[in-house]
Amino acid sequence: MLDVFKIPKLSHISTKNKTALSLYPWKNCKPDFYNQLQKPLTECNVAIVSSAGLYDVHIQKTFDPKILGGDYSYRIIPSDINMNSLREGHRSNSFDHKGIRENPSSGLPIPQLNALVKEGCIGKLNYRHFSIMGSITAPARFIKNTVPDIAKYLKADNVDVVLLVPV
Amino acid sequence: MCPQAVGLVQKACEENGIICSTISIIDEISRKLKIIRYLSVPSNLGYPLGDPDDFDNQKDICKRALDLVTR
Repeated sequence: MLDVFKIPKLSHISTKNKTALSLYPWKNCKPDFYNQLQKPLTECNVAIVSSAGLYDVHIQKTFDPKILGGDYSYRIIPSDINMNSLREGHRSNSFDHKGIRENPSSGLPIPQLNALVKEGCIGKLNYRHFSIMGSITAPARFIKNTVPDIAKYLKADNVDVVLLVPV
Repeated sequence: MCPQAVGLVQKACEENGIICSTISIIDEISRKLKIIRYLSVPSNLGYPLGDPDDFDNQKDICKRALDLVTR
């Protein structure tokens, strides 16, 4: 059991929610097997997966806060997106949304990684990235539908490394 | 639940040969989830890369997280 009541960064959450988190059946996210990087980071294609619930306001729908168990859909965000087009559609009330809303790159650091490419720290940035809405309390549909899709696309894109950014 | 959502993606990616590094705001949850490679950050929920107005610090956090995959 996770003793949420002893976690200082969660001290602002209600007792009811702390209790729920303490009793929540967290999934085992340890891979059955994993590899070591076979080439320098400076030669790697890097993609981002963010759970900030970001979407392109001009062409994509927001995440639906009314879906029971959480909206398990995903959005594909191109690397050349105008960051001002991004909006945040995360339903959780357990964190301060102000930072992400004012600066979406705080949750989907495309500009930051572009800078790392220019500095020669990473090889290149993948042409697309993935945005999910992390408040998924019932993850079965997410595991069955969303996760395989994202992994498949990243594999097809020959992505070497993924930076995962939860909020 | 965000850590779990990205943790599940991390698991699938690693099992498909894609190396992952995860930002961790709450290490107790990252450990509970058994995420294999994460960078612990001191900031609070909603600010995974720290101060949203500090581009250089955000870039540094990304770099340090990505550097973990080389170890």
